[in-house]
Amino acid sequence: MRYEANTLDKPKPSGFDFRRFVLTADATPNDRLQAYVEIEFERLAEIEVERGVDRSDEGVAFAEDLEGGNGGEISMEQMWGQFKFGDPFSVRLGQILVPLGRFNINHDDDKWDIPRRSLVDRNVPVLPVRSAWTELGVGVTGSKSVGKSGQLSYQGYVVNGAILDFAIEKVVEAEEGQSILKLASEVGLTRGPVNGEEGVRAGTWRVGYSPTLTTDFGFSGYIGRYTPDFLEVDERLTSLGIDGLWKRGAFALEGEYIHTHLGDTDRVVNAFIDTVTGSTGIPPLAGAQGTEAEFAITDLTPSRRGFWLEGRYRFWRERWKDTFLGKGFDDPHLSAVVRYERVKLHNAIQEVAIENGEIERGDAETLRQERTTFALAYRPIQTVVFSVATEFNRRLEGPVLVFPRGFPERRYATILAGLAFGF
Amino acid sequence: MERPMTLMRAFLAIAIAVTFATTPLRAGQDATTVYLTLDQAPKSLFPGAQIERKDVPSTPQFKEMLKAKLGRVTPTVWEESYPTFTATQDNKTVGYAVVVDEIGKVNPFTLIVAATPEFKVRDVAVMVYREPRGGEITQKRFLAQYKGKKSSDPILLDRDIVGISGATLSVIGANRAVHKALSVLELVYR
Repeated sequence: MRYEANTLDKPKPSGFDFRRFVLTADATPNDRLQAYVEIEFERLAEIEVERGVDRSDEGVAFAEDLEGGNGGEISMEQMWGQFKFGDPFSVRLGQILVPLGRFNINHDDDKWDIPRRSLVDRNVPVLPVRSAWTELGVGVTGSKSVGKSGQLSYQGYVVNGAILDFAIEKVVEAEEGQSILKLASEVGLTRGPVNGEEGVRAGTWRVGYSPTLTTDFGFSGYIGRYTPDFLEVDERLTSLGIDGLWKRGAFALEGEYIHTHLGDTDRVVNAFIDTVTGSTGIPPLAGAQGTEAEFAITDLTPSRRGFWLEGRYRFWRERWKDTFLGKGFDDPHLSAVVRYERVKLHNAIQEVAIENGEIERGDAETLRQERTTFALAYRPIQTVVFSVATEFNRRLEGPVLVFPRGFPERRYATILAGLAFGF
Repeated sequence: MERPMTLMRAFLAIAIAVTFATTPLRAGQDATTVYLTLDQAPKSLFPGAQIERKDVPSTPQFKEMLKAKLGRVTPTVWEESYPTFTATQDNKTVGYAVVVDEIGKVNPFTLIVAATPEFKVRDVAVMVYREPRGGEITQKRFLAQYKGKKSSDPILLDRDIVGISGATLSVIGANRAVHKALSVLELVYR
């Protein structure tokens, strides 16, 4: 759960934000067989569907009513089975976490001390699909000791892969004395389908090496076609990541760099326009009176890159053990955290829309933003964290912020408070 | 469909190659991973020594003494008895060992802790691990950190013990187990 207030000119209302509730289940029916499931409820308190048929003398009415909070989501975050051939080699198949960078594979909120995920992995994101990014596929995973204190780990999968998919948005709007039903078909990059209809299109891997317990670094990648068959264009998405963790006593330094390349996005946009206009180049006109239809492709960027670097210092004073912070807990502690992050979207097009006989194409803009976060976290036990944080955001390039997208402010600050617990 | 087929073929080729190149299958394992049996464990920690076993029942009095000795450390498992061992070589005591259980995340794991005659940790080994996650604590490079620890040391994550990402709860469990083991040995043999 999170509380947020910021200094943007038109901020979203400050309030408690139920970020996510994650149910996990795992089983090891045999030492060589393992299964894991993670189901996430994000900003979701209720979903209610009502359907009915009402028959009267005048005719019949079929009605459907969907109730639920804004932004609610239920998601199968992970669901995989694993067969162990031997210590250094297991086969894993199912809905797996894409091992790009280190955050996505360690995304559980109770592991982190700052109550908001990074720009790179979630808010922008530079990761092709915002974390937690999972894909359906099959692959291998394992680790092996190297020398006296080293450990080499690897994972590699073939997956259905991220894809430009569409969502349909419905809006009822009052406009100049009449009601209008607007339908918008929005195409954007999402995690791959789970019904196999677009085929196996991507591969992803990570190799990690830990020379000692205090040092760990990894190289990771993702490559795959992201354009769907209906666009009749073939473009690839390539991502590379470098990440690491270094610890010394109570101090830890952790970071990640991701570079994503989406190929020739102009070709993708042109293919989209071609598809919607039926290769005539003439956009479809408005539909029936009282309705409007819009086709849009969003958030295409030829390349994006970004990094975050987080320093944590864990501390505790024995004289606090009998205070409300320490009483009854074995090893409570506080952590002071600083995270610096920077992202760049190169030639980003926020939206290309086709509406009422017109094609609206926004200018390509290069956007850069940095964020520095200072946080204090209190952990009475390892899996429970209370945290407060202050973010300082600064626009470095482009006319608007990258996050939240479209705001013209040069700088803004945010105060966050969060609670995460695992049990 | 040419690319997906190529990816699929590449994956299958790698999978088959690695399968045949790596460890042969082991048979007869049940739901938990048994690394050492009760017979094997003390011998592996005191190679070449004579081992004498003594089971110490955890009577209410013993439990109270152990609780007092552990102080801030609260065990998650209270065993009914503790299998302890004395290792001798050339009629000289070279160390002691005890088997303890502690919970990692959900299930208990079993650890043997060997101590020097001065009650400092000589070696630690995981005998049985029962969790689907956190198995990294069985790595020798992790367990080597406990060598030389005394019951008066903090034995705490990020103070004198380095944790492992993804195995934090198991690391905390191992810390408790080592604390408990040293305290039991001191109560029985000191």
